[in-house]
Amino acid sequence: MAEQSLRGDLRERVDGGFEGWCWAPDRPEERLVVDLLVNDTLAASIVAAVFRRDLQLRGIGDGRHGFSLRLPPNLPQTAGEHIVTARERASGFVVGRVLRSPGGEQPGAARLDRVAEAMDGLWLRLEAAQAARAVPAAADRLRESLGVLAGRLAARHAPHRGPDDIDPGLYSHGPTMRLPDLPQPAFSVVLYARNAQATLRHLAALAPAADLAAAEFIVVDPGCDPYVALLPAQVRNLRYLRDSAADTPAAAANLAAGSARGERLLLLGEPPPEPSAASLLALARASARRSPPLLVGPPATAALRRIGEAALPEAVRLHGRLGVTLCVDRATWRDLGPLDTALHDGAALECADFACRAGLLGLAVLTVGEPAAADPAAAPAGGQVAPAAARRALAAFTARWGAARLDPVRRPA
Amino acid sequence: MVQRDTALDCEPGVIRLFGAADIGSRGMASGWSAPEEGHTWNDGLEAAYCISVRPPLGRFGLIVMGEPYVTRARPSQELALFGNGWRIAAWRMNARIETALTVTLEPEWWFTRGTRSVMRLLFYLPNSVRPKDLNDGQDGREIGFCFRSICLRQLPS
Repeated sequence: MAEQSLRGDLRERVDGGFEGWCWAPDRPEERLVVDLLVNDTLAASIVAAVFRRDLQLRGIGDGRHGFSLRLPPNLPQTAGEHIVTARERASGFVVGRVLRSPGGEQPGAARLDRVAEAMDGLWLRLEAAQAARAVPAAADRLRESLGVLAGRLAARHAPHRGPDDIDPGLYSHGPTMRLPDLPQPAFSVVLYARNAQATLRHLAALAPAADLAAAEFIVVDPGCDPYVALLPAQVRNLRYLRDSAADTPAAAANLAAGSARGERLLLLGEPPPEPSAASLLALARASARRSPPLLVGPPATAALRRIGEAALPEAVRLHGRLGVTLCVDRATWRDLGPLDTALHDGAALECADFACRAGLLGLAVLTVGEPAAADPAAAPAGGQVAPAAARRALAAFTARWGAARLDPVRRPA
Repeated sequence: MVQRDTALDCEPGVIRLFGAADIGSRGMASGWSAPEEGHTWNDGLEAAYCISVRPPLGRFGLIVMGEPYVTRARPSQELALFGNGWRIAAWRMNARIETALTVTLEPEWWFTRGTRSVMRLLFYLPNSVRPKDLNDGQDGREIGFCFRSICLRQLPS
């Protein structure tokens, strides 16, 4: 019998919609029509033809057998406790059933609470494992997965979303972008992701150079935008870190540096709307040719000028904008330690501090020239700082480094 | 631009999905680009789409889901829908979000021959544009709306 050969599934989403799949193994190319019934009354029908990567990976045909829909609003049958049934139209094969309760706490909400509790537990264990330096690769993967989960849950429950809004977690048709999978990258490009769309645009702009520059991309999500957590699902081979404590680019850089694999760290502060892939490539070539331990970008150069440093020699002039803050050897990073987040003033003072530390060790510090920062008087990108905050940060900086500069320390052996 | 001419057989109440998996190129008379995964873009200022139903005819609700091509350089998309020459509705979309285009199709607008009633839906998109002309990638198609699903619903007479 045909119906015995059918396979499928129905699940309720946390937002009250339904998703599932239906497939006939003996007719693997056929798209089946699924009826959704509420207490045996037909409420909606859909062709199960949505592509789902998980189905493809499980060998469910070509993976184009999913469906996802909401029940029409104000159905009288949904007033009380009701059963929603998904049934294949031609054979009557029941794909799945879900029992729903009216009002109050939906079963989906209870499940969500349990998922959240489980995630909290996993997160604690993950932190413990990382503190003990156990299985770093597995911990990275787990952190990425948890980040994606957290983001999806947050995105579905974000307060600004209406009940009929598109759910990005369900309309994903597989990764939209693919970055190279590099076992030993030359660069680790760190992006501070406060906005999902902007970050995706930056990644799309830089991705063409990823292969040639041998660059891996690390996105640090401080949790400002829940949709950022969906990026790993949209961009293949993207490294994703989520930490609400990474609330400044400097803190994000410190976090990313711990798991970066590239020989050099490239911190992008406030990339322009369309950062140039050609610029990334030019920077990669210049740093491979000259191997300076530390390159500082226009914001940090401007901050160095503000604290009275002499103009630094230029290592490379980029034709397009890239938004470089720092580009540093990982060995140098290890020697000089993390950026001082206490100095954060929004205008790369922490990077200037880092450059001063490198200078004290006798390391060559060069600048990266970007067209929009050619004017020395121009404000650094993203560097509109309140004068009082700048004065406080500058005072802290000089208090810390004023004496040390008279007595330079030597680079540790 | 792809030229095709076969009506999509619509069963009232069933949501059909644009894209390679379900609808494919069925019903796409003219003005369409090749079906992709889960969606199909128009290509040009006019996209003609033929649907058919079996009589008896009644009032149908037509729901087309999709997403307009809206960017900073092209902040709005206008769409006018004609059915067998009747001007049915028009929309102006200002946000790149999933959008439902919902109209009512009256029985007298259908063209009935034999056992089928056919309607040629014409989506007129005067703001369609080539993304590469806006420096938005290399896409050379003249696009305005990304069609995701279509559904006819029987309405009470």
